[in-house]
Amino acid sequence: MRTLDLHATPTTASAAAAIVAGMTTTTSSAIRVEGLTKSYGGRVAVDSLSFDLPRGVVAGFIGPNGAGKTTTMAMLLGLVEPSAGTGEVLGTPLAQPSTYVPQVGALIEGPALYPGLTGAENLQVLAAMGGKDKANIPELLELVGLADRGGDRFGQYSLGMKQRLGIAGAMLGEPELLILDEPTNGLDPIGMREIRELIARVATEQRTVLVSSHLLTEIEQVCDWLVVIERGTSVYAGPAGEFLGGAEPTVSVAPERPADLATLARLFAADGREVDITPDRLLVAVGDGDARTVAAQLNRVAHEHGIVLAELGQRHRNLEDRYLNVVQGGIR
Amino acid sequence: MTAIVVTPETRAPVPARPGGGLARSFRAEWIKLTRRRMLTGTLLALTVIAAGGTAIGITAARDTAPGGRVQSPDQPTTIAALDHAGGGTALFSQTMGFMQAFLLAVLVGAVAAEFTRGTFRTMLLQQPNRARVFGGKIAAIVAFMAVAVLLGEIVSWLTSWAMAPSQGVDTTRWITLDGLQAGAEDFARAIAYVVGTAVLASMVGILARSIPIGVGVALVWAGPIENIIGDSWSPGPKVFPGLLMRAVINPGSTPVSTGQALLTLTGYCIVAAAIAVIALRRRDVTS
Repeated sequence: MRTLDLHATPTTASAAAAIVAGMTTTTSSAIRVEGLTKSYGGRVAVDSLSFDLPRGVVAGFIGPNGAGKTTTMAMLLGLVEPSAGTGEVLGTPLAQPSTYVPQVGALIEGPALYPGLTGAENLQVLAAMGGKDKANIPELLELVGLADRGGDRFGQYSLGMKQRLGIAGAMLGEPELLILDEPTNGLDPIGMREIRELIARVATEQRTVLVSSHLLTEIEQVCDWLVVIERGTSVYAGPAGEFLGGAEPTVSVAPERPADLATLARLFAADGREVDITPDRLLVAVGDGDARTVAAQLNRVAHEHGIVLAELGQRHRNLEDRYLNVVQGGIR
Repeated sequence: MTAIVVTPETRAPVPARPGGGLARSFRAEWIKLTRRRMLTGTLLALTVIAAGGTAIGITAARDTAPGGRVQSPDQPTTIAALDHAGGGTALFSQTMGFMQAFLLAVLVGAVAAEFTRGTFRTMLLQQPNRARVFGGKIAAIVAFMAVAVLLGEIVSWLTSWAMAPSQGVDTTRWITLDGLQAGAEDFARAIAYVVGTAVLASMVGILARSIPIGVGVALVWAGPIENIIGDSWSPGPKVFPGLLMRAVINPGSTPVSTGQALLTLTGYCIVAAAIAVIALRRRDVTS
């Protein structure tokens, strides 16, 4: 079984699609940071963060609240000065945001626009500030589903509409790199799906997207690359498929008594199995064996230790399972 | 395994329009200032203020006092002063003097709001040079106010001219070359007053990054502190920026000459701009 080292950070990034195809690739990075750190007094918000994001991928940036995602994005955009570390965005050092920011579209910490101006006027202001063509503003409003509300004041928009307008603003000038901080905040399920489709569409244009979200199912559906951070430090950066263990099946095991979950995890791990702990079950990698055989062995181990299983079945890992296992320090 | 070099076909970003960051920031602010609602509101407000201030001033004008310019913004002008060539725009300058605290509060609020609303952050995502973002904004506001001041001066002159006969003011000297020159001088004084107020207000707004704190500090300083201390401390009119600006807009209202006031204010503005730029560059944009 292939064991994933969650603490390793790839130093040579490659396009995820190419990796899937089994090719060795050499591309320049859209984002590369090394030892990026931000301290506020004695509090370290981002701690020696390192990752490498190839061009052309849609990357999910995930981590618990307060993990340092927004601060990292703010450092990438020149809003916050790093306390230490180096990095590049689109091949330009972080210290020169004036050079690369014009090629980056971003939405960070929510959409902040002028409440007295209409949606279209706000986009005109942004276009003027960035020296970008305002001719495609109607097209952008159409793209984010605000074509018929572009003439309404921003202050009258719902949170979801504000979010959409913020995304439209980020897409002005067809940027090479999109950095979106929680773009689905405030959106209803339909809105979320639209944003997901929008990101997927951007991905087909070979632009790079870095998107943070708490909604792991959203991330899972749209991202082919992942950067996972916890307490300001990278715990994984690489292809999403690798983080999830590819299509490798697992056996889902739920004891009758939830208190037995940790004991069961230790027993399976001691038996040499890779185990992910979720709040209510264990996901045990099948590896080279047969799922039915592994399930039987697990059942036997549990039975030998007097633990009754309430559930035993085959299941594929999803991002939430893997993420919770990583950030909650599960057993591998 | 074959090693293949993959160069993704990244879309070339649409090139930015020509023009420096300052010019782009100016254009962005100009879009906000020249939208129809803003223009209508400004036109309405300046008509009410200019016409109302002038009407009150001319109604309250006394018929006995030494001639010359308006003595103080809080004292009624005289019929003799209004008889002079510059009488047509004298009440406009007096009204501008009254507007000092209001103007300061509006400008501090406009700057601080960029931080409280987070729009400064949004603008930096389009134009990362912080000093240029603010420089262009302030330049656009000053340009807009210059137009507003000119219109206000015209409204004030027309109001004075219409009401002058009721107070027995002789307007024949208003429509002379001297009258035009006096009007131009009053306009130049008003512009210097606006520029000084805008630069100082920007510094306060940038340092405060909060509308209530910024406006509160500005009003307390420009109101009670400058006026109370300025009345009892003889160097006050020479050093307090608000009193120096009053000397510019209402010459003769303080013992300080216009030249001396302008020189000192220029120094203050250079220091204030430097402090604002340093604060903008050094502080993280976290809101």
